[in-house]
Amino acid sequence: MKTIFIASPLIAAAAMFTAAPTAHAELSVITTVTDLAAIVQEVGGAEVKVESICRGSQDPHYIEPKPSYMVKASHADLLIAVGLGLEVGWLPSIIQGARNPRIAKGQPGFLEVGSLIEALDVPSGKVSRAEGDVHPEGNPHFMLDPIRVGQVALGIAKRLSELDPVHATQYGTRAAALEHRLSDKTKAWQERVRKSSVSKVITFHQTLRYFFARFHLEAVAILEPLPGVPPTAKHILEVIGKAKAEKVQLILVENFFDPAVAERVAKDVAGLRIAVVPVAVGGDAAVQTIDEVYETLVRAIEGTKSHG
Amino acid sequence: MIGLHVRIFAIWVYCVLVIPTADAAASAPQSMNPDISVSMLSLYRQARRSGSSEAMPGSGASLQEVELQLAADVDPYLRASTILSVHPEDQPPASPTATESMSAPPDQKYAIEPEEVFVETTSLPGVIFKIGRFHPALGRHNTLHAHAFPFIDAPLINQRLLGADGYGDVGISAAVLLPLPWFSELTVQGLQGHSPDLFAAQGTSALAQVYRWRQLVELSDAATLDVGISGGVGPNFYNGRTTVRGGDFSLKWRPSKGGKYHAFAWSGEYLQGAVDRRPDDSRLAGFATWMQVQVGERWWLQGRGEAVGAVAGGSGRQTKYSGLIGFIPTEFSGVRLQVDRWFDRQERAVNSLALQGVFSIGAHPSHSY
Repeated sequence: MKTIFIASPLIAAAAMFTAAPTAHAELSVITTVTDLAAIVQEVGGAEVKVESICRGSQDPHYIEPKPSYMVKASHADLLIAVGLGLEVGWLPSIIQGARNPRIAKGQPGFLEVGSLIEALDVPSGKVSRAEGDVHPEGNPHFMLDPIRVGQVALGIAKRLSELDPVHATQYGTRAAALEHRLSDKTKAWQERVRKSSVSKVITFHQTLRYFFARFHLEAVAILEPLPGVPPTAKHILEVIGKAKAEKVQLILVENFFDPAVAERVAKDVAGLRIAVVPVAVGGDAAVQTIDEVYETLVRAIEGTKSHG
Repeated sequence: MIGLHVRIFAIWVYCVLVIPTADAAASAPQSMNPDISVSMLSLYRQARRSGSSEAMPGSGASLQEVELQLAADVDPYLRASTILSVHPEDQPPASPTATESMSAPPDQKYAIEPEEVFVETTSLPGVIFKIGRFHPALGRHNTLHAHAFPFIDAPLINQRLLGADGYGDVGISAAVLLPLPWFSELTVQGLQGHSPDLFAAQGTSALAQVYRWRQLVELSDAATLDVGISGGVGPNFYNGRTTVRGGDFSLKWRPSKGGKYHAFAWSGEYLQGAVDRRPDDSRLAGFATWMQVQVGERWWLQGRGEAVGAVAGGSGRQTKYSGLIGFIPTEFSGVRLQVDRWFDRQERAVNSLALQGVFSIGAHPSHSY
């Protein structure tokens, strides 16, 4: 009996000393997704060391809260998440298991960038799981809008500056440069999409909602009958009907979904082309920067010029 | 007939769930109400001895368990969880621990129990302290809630050594994340001892002590190896000492690409216990090993083999083989069909088939990896 009561405070003291962060020349940042890691790396430069929990080819809705992620988070000065409910199924247990008070919600070491942008598809009234895997705070896939990503970069720079005021000027300069670059490139990408003459698209999930809004594309149909619900035979027939009626030219399938259903639809619709696309940095070997994510999507849209 | 305590519980649930949610639409997401979830397990089971057409005790349909969980931050330093379990009272299980003389009561009563009620620290570096009633870390499986069991029932050794409902107790816990490059967690717990099967303080001041040391390494982006050793010592109901030792492992694979559709896990657990001065099963050891394979987005195939035997004296071995197919359409619902064949202390085979429905509503925390 006495052993446990003597041992507990000793264990706690040992933990506090052993868990105390050693002095690093750089800020240690952990992000939930690779897009955020890419932005942090560009804004932070040599002043940060950044790692992402989710891989670019993984569906960020369904990450298993591995204890190894807790170890990574235990050393972090800053944890950056997308928010809007994207990580609600796994991030809280990682934060709790990390036992790192610096990154607890409400602390300067915790940042949810979803609060920095205007969200789309915010449901009004009560939401229910009968509607599928809905996000009560809005669609969380805003990292596919380069303009919103520019806003996110500025917000990240501001938080990095609060944690590391010495390099605030560098963070601000890099974030502004990223924002301007993406803003300029967006105009060029919009022009290329306009010239592609593709305006109506089918996709698997609502991942590309913000991308479509920015580049004036219409999602005529979604292969999932409800968010998070696999396509049913009845729904596939409805999608085929819509694709024919609307003369849709392109199905974009996020590369963490099985393209078999899209292939089934394309088989029945003349001129309908499929592109399996990465939707995050690292989602493909050729996509290693945030710019390359958008470039790859624009090329997938342009690819419909040569009908296959 | 619903007992008085169940009626009181129903009124309490109404007050907690319905009255606050009248304003939920207006106040969400700014509400400071706790996260509330309800998990329901319904079960249909048939068990028969080889060569007999008579159903064993516990056969038939039942409400296996309803778990109500409330969790919220107390303040910037603490988080509280309350998990209440509603389950049949005095219901003989159709399991290897049942005896043929047990019969189902004509009038099904239900009990409401605090399964886990605790507060834990959220702001201490490197350690989580927890105080209250919880599932001690005697092995990996004992920390799981019923709706998160890999199979419909707990392993034989857990049922025989830790009790049919697992081992829960009041105490204090410290879980330290050791400063190593891999996940290494040392958990030390002091428990009052409220279990007739395991630890029971008999008016003495001696607490039971439990420890678990867990390591998890990433073999690759897709695979992890998780191993643990655990043990416990403390006074028992028979004025003797109980000692428990155990080891567990879990090898998991889920690819970064295509991981939505395929996964594999191989796990195992060994427990050995000595309950001094207990008339039967004073020394008991057993192990269980199982494999889980995700064969499609919503489908799982699983198999388990296990054995329990007395280490010295006591009753004989039990062995059991189980197969399970699961249809898990979402994180919040699932149907599982399990077939078992076990050989009990009388060395007579028993065949069992069980169909379980698991359904959850509300905001439930993620399960442990």
